Amino acid sequence: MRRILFDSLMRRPLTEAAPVKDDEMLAELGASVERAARRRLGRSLSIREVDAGSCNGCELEIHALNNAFYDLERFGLHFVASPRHADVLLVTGPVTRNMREALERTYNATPDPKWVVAVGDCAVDGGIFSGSYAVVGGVSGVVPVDLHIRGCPPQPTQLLKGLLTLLEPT
Amino acid sequence: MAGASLDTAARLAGRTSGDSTVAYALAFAHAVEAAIDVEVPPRAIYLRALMAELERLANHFGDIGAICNDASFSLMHAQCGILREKTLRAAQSCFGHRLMMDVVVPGGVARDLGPSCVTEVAALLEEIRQLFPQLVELYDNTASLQDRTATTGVLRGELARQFGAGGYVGRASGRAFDARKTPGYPPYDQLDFEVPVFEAGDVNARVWVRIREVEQSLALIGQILRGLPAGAIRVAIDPGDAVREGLGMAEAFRGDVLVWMRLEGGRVARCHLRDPSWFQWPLLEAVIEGNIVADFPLCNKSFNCSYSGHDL
Repeated sequence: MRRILFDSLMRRPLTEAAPVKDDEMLAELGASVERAARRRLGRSLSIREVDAGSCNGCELEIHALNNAFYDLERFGLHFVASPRHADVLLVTGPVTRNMREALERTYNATPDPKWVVAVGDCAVDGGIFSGSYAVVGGVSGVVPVDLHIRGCPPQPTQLLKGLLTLLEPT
Repeated sequence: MAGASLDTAARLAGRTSGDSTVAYALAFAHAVEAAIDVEVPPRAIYLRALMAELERLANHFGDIGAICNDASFSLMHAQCGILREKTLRAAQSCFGHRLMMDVVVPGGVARDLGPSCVTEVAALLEEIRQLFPQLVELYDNTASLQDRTATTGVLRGELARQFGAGGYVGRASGRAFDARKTPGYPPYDQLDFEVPVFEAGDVNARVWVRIREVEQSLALIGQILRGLPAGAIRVAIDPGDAVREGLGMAEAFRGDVLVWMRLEGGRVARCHLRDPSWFQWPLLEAVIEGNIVADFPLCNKSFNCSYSGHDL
């Protein structure tokens, strides 16, 4: 263990520079997030992840944000275990009928001000699952969405871009 | 899935459980190929196995790290996370997608390996071979970690056999089943590998199955790269109008995925995708019995059953 720790001390960090923010996402966010609310939160956001019926591909990439290369916490972003502690709901999946009520209740349990980020193509409009008897199709059909991050699944850098846009719009 | 074209159905199959997308696409392709009796080009068969083993590596790294993390040993989690990320990046650069979604298709693979990829994957193997043994040593020699994993969450071999549990759950409890050997599918009949089996059935044994499988996958990828045949990567698939049925199997990192499908009028009429978790979730309940609450995360993570694959 000492050798691994020592090597880590001597080596340059693996963590990569922050990605450049995305204009398209900035435009979508512009209307929905007020400056005042953002000031109140400072530079820190607590994120609650909600799997509303995804294939777990999005979760894998969201999980990757915590690894040494992306190191999400350096931006003041961290995941929490309850919507009561959250500022942001990160919702994945086409919203299956089974998860609809759970998503609504999670949204209602999250204190204001709050934002909803829909992650992945399924979360936009049901994606490949749209039209299925088992899905509602798209997060915005159930709760208001402030930002969409597309991709199947979106890569960690795309997720990071979206979340940073939320944090520092300028 | 009912009424879907073969293309759409293959994409849907690959999204049953995103972490096993290669295995699902492979099992689905096997089912389609059995239904309409087509021969897949040898290069495609090798490329499929390359992807399947990369997927197994990435997931096993993730799991080994995550199990240790649940015992609050975050160093392993961080180091395994690095190996996982490097594997996914190699997948991205060789197959155009970090999880390699939609690359395995009925009839072959959708994308060939670029010229620089063989060297790139070989470099990844070398890097893993350097770092991974250190992590295994760390796992094996940390008493506080062993204290949490050894004798925790024991699954009796009898129960594993009764439920037909596959993957690391079965193989850590003496059930030596691996779909790559039985019934077996190419190219594994031409490759040399072992199926590691442990008897203890505890969290520790499930970690060790993964460790040994990482080593086997590294060896397999080496063999695949050396033996990679030249030639076509895909044959055209004509589902025809007749009613046809096919059964396919593939070994995912979690266990055997089984796909049954029926074609009618060139489209998928019915399809069932059986996740390995079907036979593992009920056993988790048996395994946690008599364990302290703090060990539940360890038991759960060592099973790592799929939610999406099981409860669509």
